[in-house]
Amino acid sequence: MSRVLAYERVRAATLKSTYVFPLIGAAVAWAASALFVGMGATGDDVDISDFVSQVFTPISAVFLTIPFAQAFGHEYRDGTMRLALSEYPQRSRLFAAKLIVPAVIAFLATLITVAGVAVIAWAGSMFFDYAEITGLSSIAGVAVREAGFIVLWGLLVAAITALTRNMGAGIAGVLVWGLVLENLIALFLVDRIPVIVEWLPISQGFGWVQTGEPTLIVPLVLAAGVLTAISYVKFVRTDA
Amino acid sequence: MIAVEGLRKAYGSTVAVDDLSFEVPDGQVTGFLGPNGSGKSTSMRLMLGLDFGSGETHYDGASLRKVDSTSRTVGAHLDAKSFHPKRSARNHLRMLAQEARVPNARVDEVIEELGLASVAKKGPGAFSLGMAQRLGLAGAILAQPRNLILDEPANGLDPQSIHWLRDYLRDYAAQGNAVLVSSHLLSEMQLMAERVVVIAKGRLIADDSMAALVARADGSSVSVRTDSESVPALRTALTDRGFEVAVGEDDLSVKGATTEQIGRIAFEISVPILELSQHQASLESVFLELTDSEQGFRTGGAA
Repeated sequence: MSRVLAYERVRAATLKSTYVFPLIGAAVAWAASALFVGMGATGDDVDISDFVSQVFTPISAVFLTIPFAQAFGHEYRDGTMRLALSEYPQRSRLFAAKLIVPAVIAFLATLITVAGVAVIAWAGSMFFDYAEITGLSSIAGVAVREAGFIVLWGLLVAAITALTRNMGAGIAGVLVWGLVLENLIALFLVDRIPVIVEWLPISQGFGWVQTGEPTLIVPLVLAAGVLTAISYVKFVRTDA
Repeated sequence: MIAVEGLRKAYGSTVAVDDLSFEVPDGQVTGFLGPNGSGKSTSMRLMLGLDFGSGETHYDGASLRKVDSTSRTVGAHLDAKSFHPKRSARNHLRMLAQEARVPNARVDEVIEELGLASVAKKGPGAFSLGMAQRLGLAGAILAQPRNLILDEPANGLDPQSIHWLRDYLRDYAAQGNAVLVSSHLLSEMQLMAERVVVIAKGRLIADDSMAALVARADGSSVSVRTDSESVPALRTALTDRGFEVAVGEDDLSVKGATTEQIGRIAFEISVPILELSQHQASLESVFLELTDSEQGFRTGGAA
């Protein structure tokens, strides 16, 4: 397993985009933080978890999870998947490595992003005319939840990319799912099937990051698990 | 040595590879020939476990799933441009080096060996096909595998590079390694390979040494010129020994015999030989002869 992890590590580390896209994701969140702080006082105290939720838009999630799409999409697009599979005939190991390495990248990048957001928020309350930031002591928990959410989002991206062998489909698919499909479902079905709103994975996932309520993350964990399992079966059973 | 046993692959009702068995011996370059769509690339992918079908491929007696290091067992180069266009050639090789724990020094050594030093830090997106082929070959030999599988490695190479590739692969095989090479450049294959496997419609139609395959072909014959009075005697002597003889005014065309055999026979019956020349069929004519009836879709040919 260590060899295939090393392969994936070098594969990711030797691409500039592995650094550039998560950096863009972080920069978007930091820019949003600076914008909020620059807009001045809100009148009320602002909890750090609310602040992180406000600035951590899906745009950041998209950029932070691009390494997941690259792990499968680049390799299929460039034909290096066959090289990889001829070196690692045990496909389950390669599949696992292709999830583990981007997960580590996305997790660490998100922690750094949230830390930066917290610093900007704290600086805003200390040195600029921004609201008092509360709950700073809980920032570690908020950061871990945000990072966990991003990793689960990334698993969806990886699964759709592996299934379609198309990076764009993986990246855009989850975005459309989260921002369009779930909102449409909520809009049109909430009256007829009220419980459905509680099972919208990404919407509930956003709620989990904000509140830390464990039940809210269950739909996203299930969705990521099911899609990952389906893509795994396809990965190990179909021609390269 | 690579031993292929009963490979089969079907796409629905279309059989791409049908009960294909052959061996690629150590110490030789084995050519893998077949018309377009005959199943060569599919066979190679099956041999590497990239496509799913039935049959077995053993490398030095072991299946790929059971070897300690895959890239030390078999090196493959299947597609001319299997690279991320922006990842440098050196980093591409560093990535491939992980499986066999190949040190960076070996990566640099291969870069030098294959003439890639001037482009090692560049992304292969802008490489010529010839340079891309060299990088593909570099990846295949990186861990110095005992077996090599190369799909059309000579495509896009200039004559100098083809000459270099021929020498390189023959040297690599001469070190005791098994080398399987597919190519459409039949004249080049005739110079490069000592053994030939020919397939058509996914089935094996020839598996022999290059020399034996070419000697058996219709186009191979020996021309013998003698004086006109000696023609009948020589003809009788040759046909008595089972050779196929066509007679001209003062010459004979003999199939299935070597110049040495004919010279000895003529000496035995005291017939003067004025000229003795070998007309060897080209691999191309042998290939067309073998695949014509099997493949059934040659340009201008009957279906």
